[in-house]
Amino acid sequence: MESVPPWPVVQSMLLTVVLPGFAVGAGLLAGVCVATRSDKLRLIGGALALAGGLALGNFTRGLLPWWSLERGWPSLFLATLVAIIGGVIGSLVSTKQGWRAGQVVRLIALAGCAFWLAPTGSPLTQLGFFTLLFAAGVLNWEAFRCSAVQSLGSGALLALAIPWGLAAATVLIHAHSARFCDMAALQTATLAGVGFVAALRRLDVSSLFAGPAIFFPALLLGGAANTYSEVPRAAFLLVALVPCTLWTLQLPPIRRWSCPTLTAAALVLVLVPCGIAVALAMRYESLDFGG
Amino acid sequence: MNRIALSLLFVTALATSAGLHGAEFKLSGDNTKVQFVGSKKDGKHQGSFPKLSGTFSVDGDVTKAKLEVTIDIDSITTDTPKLTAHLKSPDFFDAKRFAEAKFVSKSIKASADGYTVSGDLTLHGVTKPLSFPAKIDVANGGVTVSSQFDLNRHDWGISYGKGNVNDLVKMTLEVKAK
Repeated sequence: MESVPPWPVVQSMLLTVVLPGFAVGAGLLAGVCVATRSDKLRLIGGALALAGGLALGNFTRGLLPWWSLERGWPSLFLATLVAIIGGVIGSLVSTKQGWRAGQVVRLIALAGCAFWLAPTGSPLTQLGFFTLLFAAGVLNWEAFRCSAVQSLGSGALLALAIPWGLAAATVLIHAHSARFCDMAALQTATLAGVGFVAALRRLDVSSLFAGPAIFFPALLLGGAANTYSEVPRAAFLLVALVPCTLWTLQLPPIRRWSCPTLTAAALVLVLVPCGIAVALAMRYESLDFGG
Repeated sequence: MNRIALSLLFVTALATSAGLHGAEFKLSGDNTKVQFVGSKKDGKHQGSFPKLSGTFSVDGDVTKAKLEVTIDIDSITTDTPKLTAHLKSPDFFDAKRFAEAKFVSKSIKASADGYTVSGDLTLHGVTKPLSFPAKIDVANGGVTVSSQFDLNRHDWGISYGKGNVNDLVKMTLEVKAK
C-alpha cells in the first residue's frame, strides 16, 4: 500500500489546483491593496480573490459544475460564492445599519447555503444534515471572528486554513475521492493566498470566512455520505468542526492569558483535531487506488 | 377421431411455434454479463456489474427485437477492492447519486458481421444514444447475444481523471438466456 500519492499525481495537483488557487488569491488581493486604501474595496477585493482562485482551479481541474441548483456537493462552487457574498454584504450592512442587521444577513446566507448543500436522503436525514451544516457554518465563522482573529491576529486565516485544509484533503483522499481531495486543496490554496496577503497588509478578512466556514463542513459531510471507505465518520466530523475548538479560548481563565500564549494555544487547538482526524483516516485506510 | 387428434396436434404445434418466436427472455446477473476494461498509461483493470435486470423481447425477426437492461451501479466489482470503492465515488460513477444505468434499444439492424444495436444509454444521469455491434442468435428456445465495443466515458459526464485514465472503456456484453 502506498503512503503518499505518486509524484506525477502530486505534481499535477500542484500545477492545476494549488498554484492557480494561491496565485489568484494572493495576486488579486495584493493588486486591490495596491490600488486602493479603502477597507470596503479591499474587502470586496478579498471576496473577488477567493472567488477567482476557486474559479481558476475549477477551470483547470474540472472539479465542480459552474451552475447547479442540485442539493448537495455538486453546488459547492456556487454556494460558496453565495456564502462569501453574504459575508461581505453582512459586513457592509453592519457598518451602516448596525451589528445586528449584518448578523441577520450572515445567518440568512449561511442557512440558505446549508439547505442548498445538505446531502440528499430521507426528510429526517436531510433535516439532520441541514442542522449540522448550519450549526457548523455559524459556529466555525463566529469562532474565527471572535477567537481566531483575537489570538492569531491578521495571520489567522493563513494559520487556520493550511492545517484545516490539509487535514480535510488527507481525510478525503483516504476516503478514495481524489475529486473531493482536490476541492479541499483548491479552497486551502486560495485561502492561503488571500491569508498571506492579509497577514502582510494586516487586513481584517473575517467577513470572508463565511465561505470556508460552510465549504469545509459541506465538503466533508458530502464526502462522508458519498464515498466508500473504512475512514471513520468521526474523522470527517472532526475536520468539519476544527475552528470550533477555538471557542475554548473564550473561557474566562484562558481569555486572560498573554498574547503569545493565546497564539500558541490557538495553534494547538487547531492542530490537535486535525492530527487526530488524519491519524484516524490513515489508520483505517490506505492510499491504494488499485495501481 | 383421427381428424380431431390431428387438429389438436396442429394447434399445439402452432402455439409452440408462436411461443418461441414471440418470446420475452428475462435477463439477470446469472445469464447476462456486463464487463469492462478501463486502462491508463501504466496498466488496466477489469470489472463487471453482477446485479442487473432486463428483457430481450423477440417476435420471430431479430431486427424487430427489443433489448432493455437496467444495471445496479452499486454492484460494480473490479480486480482491486479499493479501486472498486474509488469507481463508486463521485470521481467516476457517483453511485450514491446515480444508482442505476439503463439501456433501451430503439432499433436492431442487420450488418455484415451480425447486427447493430442502437438505443439510449442512461448513465451517470446523462441519456445519450449508443450503437454497438452484436452477434445475436435466437434458437432452441433461447437467445445468445455477444458484443464488444468501446464507450467514451466523457460522453456520459464521467470526466474526472482526464489525461490519467483513458477516455475509452472496453465493454463486453454476453447474454445466454432461455
